[in-house]
Amino acid sequence: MLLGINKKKEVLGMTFKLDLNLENYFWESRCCMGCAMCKYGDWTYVPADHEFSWICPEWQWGKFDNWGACGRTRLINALFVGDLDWSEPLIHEAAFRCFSCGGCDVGCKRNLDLEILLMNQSLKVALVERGFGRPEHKGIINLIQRSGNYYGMDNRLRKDWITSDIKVEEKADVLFFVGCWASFKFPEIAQATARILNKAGVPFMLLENETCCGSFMYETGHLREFRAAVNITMKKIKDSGAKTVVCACGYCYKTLKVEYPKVLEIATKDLGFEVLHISEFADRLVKEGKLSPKEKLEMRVTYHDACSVGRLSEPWIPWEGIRDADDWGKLKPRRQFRRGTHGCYEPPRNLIKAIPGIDFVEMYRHHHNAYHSGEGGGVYEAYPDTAQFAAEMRVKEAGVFGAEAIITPDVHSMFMLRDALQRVETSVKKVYHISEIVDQIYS
Amino acid sequence: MQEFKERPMLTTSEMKEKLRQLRTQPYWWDMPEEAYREMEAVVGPDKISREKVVRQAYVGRGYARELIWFSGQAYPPCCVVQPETTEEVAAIVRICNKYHLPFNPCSSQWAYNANPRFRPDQVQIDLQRMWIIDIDKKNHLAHVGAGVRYGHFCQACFDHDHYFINTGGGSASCVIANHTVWGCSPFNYRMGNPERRVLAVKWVTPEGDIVRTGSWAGRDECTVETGFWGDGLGPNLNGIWRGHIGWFGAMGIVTEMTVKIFPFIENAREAMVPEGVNPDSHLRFNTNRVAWQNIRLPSRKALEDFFYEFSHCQIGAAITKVPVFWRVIAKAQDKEDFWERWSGVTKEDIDNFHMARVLLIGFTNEKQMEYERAVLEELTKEFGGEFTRTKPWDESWFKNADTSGMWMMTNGYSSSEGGQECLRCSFETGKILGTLLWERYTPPFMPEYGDPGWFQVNDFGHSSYLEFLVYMNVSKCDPLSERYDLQYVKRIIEWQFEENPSVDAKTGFFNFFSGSGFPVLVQGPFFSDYQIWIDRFKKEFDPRGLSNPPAPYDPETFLEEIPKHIATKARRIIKTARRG
Repeated sequence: MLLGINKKKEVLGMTFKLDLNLENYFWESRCCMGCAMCKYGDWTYVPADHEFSWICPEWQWGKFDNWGACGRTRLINALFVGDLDWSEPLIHEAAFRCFSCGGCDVGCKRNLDLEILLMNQSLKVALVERGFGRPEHKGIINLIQRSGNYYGMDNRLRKDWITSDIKVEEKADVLFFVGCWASFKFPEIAQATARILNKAGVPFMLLENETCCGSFMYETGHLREFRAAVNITMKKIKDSGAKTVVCACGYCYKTLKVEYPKVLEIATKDLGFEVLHISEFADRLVKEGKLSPKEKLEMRVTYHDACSVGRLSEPWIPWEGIRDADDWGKLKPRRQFRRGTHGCYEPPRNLIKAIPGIDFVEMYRHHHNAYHSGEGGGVYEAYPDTAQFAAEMRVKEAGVFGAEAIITPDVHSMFMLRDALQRVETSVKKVYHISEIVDQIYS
Repeated sequence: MQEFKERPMLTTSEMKEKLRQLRTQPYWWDMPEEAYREMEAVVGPDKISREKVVRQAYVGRGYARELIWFSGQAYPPCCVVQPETTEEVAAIVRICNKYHLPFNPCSSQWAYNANPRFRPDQVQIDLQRMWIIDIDKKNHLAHVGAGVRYGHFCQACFDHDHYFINTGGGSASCVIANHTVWGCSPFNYRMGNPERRVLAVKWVTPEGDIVRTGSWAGRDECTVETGFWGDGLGPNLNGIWRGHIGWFGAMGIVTEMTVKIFPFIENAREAMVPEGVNPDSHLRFNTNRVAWQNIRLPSRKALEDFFYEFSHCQIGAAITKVPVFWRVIAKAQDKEDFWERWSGVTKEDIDNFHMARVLLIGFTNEKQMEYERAVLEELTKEFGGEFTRTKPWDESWFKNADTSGMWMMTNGYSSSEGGQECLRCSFETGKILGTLLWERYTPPFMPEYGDPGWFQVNDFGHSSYLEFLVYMNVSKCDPLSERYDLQYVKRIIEWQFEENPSVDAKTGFFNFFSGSGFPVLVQGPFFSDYQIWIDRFKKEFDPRGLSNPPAPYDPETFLEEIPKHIATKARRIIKTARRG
């Protein structure tokens, strides 16, 4: 079924749909000409410093081209045409060492508009479907399915983070979707986020029985399991009557805002509720005069654009149609591209820069061009060496600018960067989640 | 409204069968165990691989890949090795010679011949780990390793208040590889041609000797400080490893180089501020010191005269005229938007559109900028032109050249003509090619409405640069597409092998796309005995023929391997040319 085309004159074209079916990306696998922008990212921002010259952490870790998107495109083409076999272990490794951070996609869409990220994600799905998924991932997914959370803990303990000073409503327009990591492992982030809402006088509720959003399933290519998680959580959110869903976890935010509509084949705007990151929501509250910075913070800080909150968080726009082979390969009907342009970049910066005394510096790689923190795509769980390498690189980069602290909008990246601090000699002493800073300074 | 007929892609077995028919060699080839072990001993086990998956990542990359890869003639290397030093490169090359293994050097893999083609037994020497950027600000030099790209290098120059070209090949192009071949950019107007920027090099010959040229000759330690002079004792060896247009890896491997860099404005880093979000990020200028200016001229004659006089005045840092469709690409949001805009363009529009793009730099101070701007205004008035609105920032050439965007319009692109000649010759060649393409080769190529191509001035008017670009429907060129059309492909080859050389012969234009990759085409009264010298040097320095075969004889091999792609007339031309 293709949209928007009337049947009068025959046009011979290849059908194309933005989804997670690898066959849709055959054109991509033929038309990538190997410019390697997927390795370097946006040249406008590239420094001369070799360590920080790349956007693809997987390639920087591995150095051979099978670890980068343009090399992987050749692997995918070889699978299509039968030059490589699906059972090659190094194909599995090339696919699952990828963080799905989308740096390659942004680089490619500066020029060629190929759907590199969706293609790589579809490769993961195709591998899982053929039984080549990573056992480490499967183990965690079993835990999630059994317990409802990433850690396999008793899901009834999910609200244990709530302290006596935090006011949660039974019913409200705003739903705080806490996520597994903040609920169980980093309760201070859940508490800080809740306190921000309380301070601004925003009534909020929690889901009655929140379960994992399914992000880990999506990231690791377990599409069937992800669809099940989507159905469960969507029903809960709809039943709650929430108009706005606020997240402090980058991956919950991206998953609800982008991946849910993707598998539901709808646009983000048609979800029936708005999904906001806490930094977007707090920035809005500041503009409405409900929050303002009250404390000073004399510190040199930098901001890490977690990919989940930055380039990957653009609203999802579904599309299907054809590439008209007789008409220069044009897409029909026309589509709108997601190039990382409209990610959540400025709200957290507005909040940080407004703090009296703060000395804000940007790293080399920021906004759409940010480097990854090492947590995502299931890489940390299956290949911790690559994940730790990426985190160490990011902490080192902050150190080049003399930052004393890194502020991040995501719990996962906060965890990885804090972990890397223990191994890297750097000026950076602290890694904060944006909620912690806003809670501490704003009232 | 159009109807579509759903066309499922070919099955894996159908594609496999098509490729089986196209390929003339087995796809995978196992290298001798002893050779692999010896190479592993040189670089260590982490920097070499013969895994199929690693090898496959080096297939079908870069410019003109459609010609080779689509025709089934791109093969994976038999192993990929990543040396980090010149000595390691030399050792690998010697092992290749010992075992008669052909080798192929690559870094950014921007050109199709940076990866194996026609044979599956090549060792891929991937130089990406050779990262050296050492800048001598006082003497305006830089020592560069083969892993360094223009984007990185340009920023390094800014960091030291200098600047350098960014090539037509894009920011991802390797500085050394590009300097061993074309090395062109609008900045050549002031910086001169690439061969003049190269000072010392470390060159690993096809048999694995290390030759040091310039003031590196005879030195044990080659640093930026010691790489000062472009010539050493004896004959100028640059003519052998580079010549005028390079060997594309057929004459060993240049691993390190010192190049001239050029003083820019003080605090260059602060004057070129990166800002904006994809796809509109750019370098914002301090326009009191750096500015692009677009100038619209009333006629083609006025444009040509303006180019000449501009150079005569010796102002500015660059002057270029780009194809009109580049301007449309820059404005378009995507491919479909490009075509909507381009479909409104007529031949008359192109005939009446004459735009020069000029770069002014106040190298010393704002006064210089004011002076140059005043001269430019006077010149513009003199030729009946006018300044048009120009963005106060740079989206290309200084650091970020989005060359791969050239593929966006049709996903099939080739530069069929390029070279340095006098201004008159470039103008004339561009005009003839533009007309010929529009009148006889549209289709197969995208309508360009007679646009005479991209030209610019080099060396303050001493020479100029012309590049002529053609765009084809990629689906019709791909045997794995159901729209594949052999007649369509033949017309493209005909343009390249018949029409271009005919025009060159008429105008005397030296097409370095032919000269470097297709020496058989560089024949006759204009090109003298170029091909004979190519043959002689190749045999002398690479007697076993191991350095990136079949370069520089790709077209002949192409003709032998897949003759059905070449139209009869083109085949006759190539054969006649080869006989001399």
